[in-house]
Amino acid sequence: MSEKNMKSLTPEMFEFVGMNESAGEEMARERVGFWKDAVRRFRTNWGAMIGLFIILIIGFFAFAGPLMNGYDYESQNIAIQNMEPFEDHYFGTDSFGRDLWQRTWNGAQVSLQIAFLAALFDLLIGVTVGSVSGYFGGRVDMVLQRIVEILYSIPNLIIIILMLLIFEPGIIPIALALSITGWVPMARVVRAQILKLKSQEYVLAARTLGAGHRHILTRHLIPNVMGPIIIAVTFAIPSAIFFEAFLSFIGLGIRPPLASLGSLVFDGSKFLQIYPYQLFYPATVLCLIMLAFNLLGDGLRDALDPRMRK
Amino acid sequence: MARRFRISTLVSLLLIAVMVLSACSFGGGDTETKNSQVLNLAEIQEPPKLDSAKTTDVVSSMILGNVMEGLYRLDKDSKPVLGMAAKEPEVSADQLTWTFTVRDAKWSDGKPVTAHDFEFAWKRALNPETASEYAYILYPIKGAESYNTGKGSVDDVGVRALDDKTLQVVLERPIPYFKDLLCFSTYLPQRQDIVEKYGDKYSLEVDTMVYNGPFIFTDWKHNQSFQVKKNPSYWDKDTVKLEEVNWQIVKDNTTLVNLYNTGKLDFTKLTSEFIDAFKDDPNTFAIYDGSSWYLEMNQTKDFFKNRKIRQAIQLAIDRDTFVKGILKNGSIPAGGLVPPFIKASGVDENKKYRDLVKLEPEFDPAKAKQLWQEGLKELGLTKAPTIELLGDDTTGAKANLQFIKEQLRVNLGADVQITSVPFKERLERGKTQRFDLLVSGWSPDYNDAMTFLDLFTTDNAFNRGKYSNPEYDQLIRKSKENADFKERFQDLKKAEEVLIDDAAIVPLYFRTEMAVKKPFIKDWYWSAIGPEYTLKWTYVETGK
Repeated sequence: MSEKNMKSLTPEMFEFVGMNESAGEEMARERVGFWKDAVRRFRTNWGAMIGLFIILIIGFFAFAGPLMNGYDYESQNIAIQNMEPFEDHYFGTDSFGRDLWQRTWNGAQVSLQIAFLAALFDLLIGVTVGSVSGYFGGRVDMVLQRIVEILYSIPNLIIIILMLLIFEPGIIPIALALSITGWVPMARVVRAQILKLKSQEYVLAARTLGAGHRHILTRHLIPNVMGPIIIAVTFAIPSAIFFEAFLSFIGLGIRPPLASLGSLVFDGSKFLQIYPYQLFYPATVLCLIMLAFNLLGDGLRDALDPRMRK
Repeated sequence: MARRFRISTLVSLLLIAVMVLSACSFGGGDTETKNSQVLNLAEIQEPPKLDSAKTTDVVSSMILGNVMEGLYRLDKDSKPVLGMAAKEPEVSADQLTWTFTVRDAKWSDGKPVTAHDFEFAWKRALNPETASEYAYILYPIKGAESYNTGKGSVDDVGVRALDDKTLQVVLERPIPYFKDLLCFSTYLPQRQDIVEKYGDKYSLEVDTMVYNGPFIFTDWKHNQSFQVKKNPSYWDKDTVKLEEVNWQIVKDNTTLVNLYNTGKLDFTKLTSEFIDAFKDDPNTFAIYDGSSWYLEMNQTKDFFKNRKIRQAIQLAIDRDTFVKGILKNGSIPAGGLVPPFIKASGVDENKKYRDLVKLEPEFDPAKAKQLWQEGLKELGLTKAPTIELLGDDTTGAKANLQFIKEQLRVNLGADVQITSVPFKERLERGKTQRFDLLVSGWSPDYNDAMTFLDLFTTDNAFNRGKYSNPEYDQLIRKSKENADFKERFQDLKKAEEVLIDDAAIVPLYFRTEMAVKKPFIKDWYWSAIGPEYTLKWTYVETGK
């Protein structure tokens, strides 16, 4: 800066703007909250986006697919049994001459229903037990954790099989049987998180201001555990689908003629050497669902809980 | 958690890959000709008991049928032909006393076969201490049942060797099928000295028994294989052409089919999943297993007490399509209870019962629907209750249940729920009437219609639907004592017609199994009753 320039500065050139106290707090860029950040991270994750895309497509076909070719899942027509895909039997027919397109999408629908119901039950029981146990601690925690440990120590397959011997197999009983042990990991995740959060200042503040336990749990703690809960649910869904498929495979699944993906894969596997397409379609859908939910779960975990990223 | 499921997805992807790769069809080098009289066969299990007094299973009975010989043996039409009996027996006018002459034949250790061998074997099987499960097959003999159940004495059993070559048998009541019974394993002779010499070890190894049949048991590697060779001292050795037969014990169906395809076996049975793979193979054949399959309807429930409802169900199942489209194993659609191989015994030894009593399966959805509506009206119902259809949980049985359900749904509008349970559970639920419709099967004990028709008398334990009709009971009771075999036949015929007309049951099918054999095997005779097959007349067509 030369002297000449300095001289050319006159007081008239300045304007008094006064003092703005809040200006110091303002951020230069747009404010990015937790969820917005999560969405941004999620969108840049290719795997997760593909997973979401596949789930949307399969979800669409599972509910709209059965409307597309005018057959239904149970009508038999022995005259066209074991036919490879032809005309509007897009996936061919099975050994009863039933349309496999219908059965596959109906099966996908049944599998998804079971999986979502099971995940919902997991969510309700797991979050309740986990948060109560973590928040209250002491004797309550002791009792609840012993129950959790007992359930955890018995192989869940045995419990599920026993449950299904008592219930008549159907969508709701299977979902219930799956969640009888399925809620345990959820409860553990929630309890661990609550234990960590309950000593935070904002909980102390709320308590000082006179908030009740219920208010603190539902308004302050659980919303802050949402991330891990969502991740746990996303992994519970493929786990339930996988388990349901397994149950169908050992003959404890859904009652015929209703089918799930698992029972379709089982039926198809018997004719693997002769009619491979009967296994191929339902198995592909099953694998895609599993893969998609796992991709989605991974993506959500990266987005919602960046610290767990490896 | 997350890691485990990523592994599971990886596995499922791998499975897809395996699946696509294995879709390439299989086929093997066939050996369609052979130059020696040797057969390579397979059984799915080890023969558990080769003691003819105690044996109950198919494999043991088949082996015994080939290495032993009773008074009679079954020929190609499952008709009894002379075995150890030198000539047809003398039968008293009341059909009760039979006198047999034992032929001059030798055991494999050179001693002659005598009438005492028969008396000893039969009385041994009946001895309560032997605890033979099949002893009841000897009950037609006078005094046999009371001796076996501990009420009578061995001296009152009506079988006696009058001398070394003459055997006299007195029966409890006249039966037209006694000669067929004589082909059963339990009626085979046994050597007292050998049985007593080996005691507990009798028949456990090839060298702890002696043989009088077309073959001798030469090698037995437990749970692995066994072998028979031609018996050089058999009385009819000129007829026997096979020199050697080897069996492998293979439990897995896929392995069996692979061994057949690669020429290591000359024969295999085909389970349902392989039938389609062999559907164009000219070497497949059907084996009657003797059983008759039918639906029982629980007539302790008011709904099934209604005859029209039962008749509607009987008319609503398309058994032709069922057999051709679902079973696909050569089974025969059933219009009645008694299977086609059962003889018209006592009337015409060359004819079958089914040749003389025709009952065709009827399928008439329109009439069924009408009867169904009428039945509902009689019961004062607007809608039928949900019907529980009970059956086994095997793959094949489940397919059958689904077909029946669909038939009743489409043809009657009935709401049917399928319950598949393990075999023992099905028997248990059947016994205690915990079902609406039950898929049942029955295998015959002897070659006569009575073995089936006896089932549906009011107090029979196997009448699980609790069908009851005094006229039917009377016809069966009379036939059991009737020495007039012509009248007896007419009564049995009438009984079966009553059974079907009442729609006491819905006959479904007479079961057969599919099997495939190499074309060079000739004259291999199978039987639905008694030993499963006999190799006495079988030969290999050599060198083409």
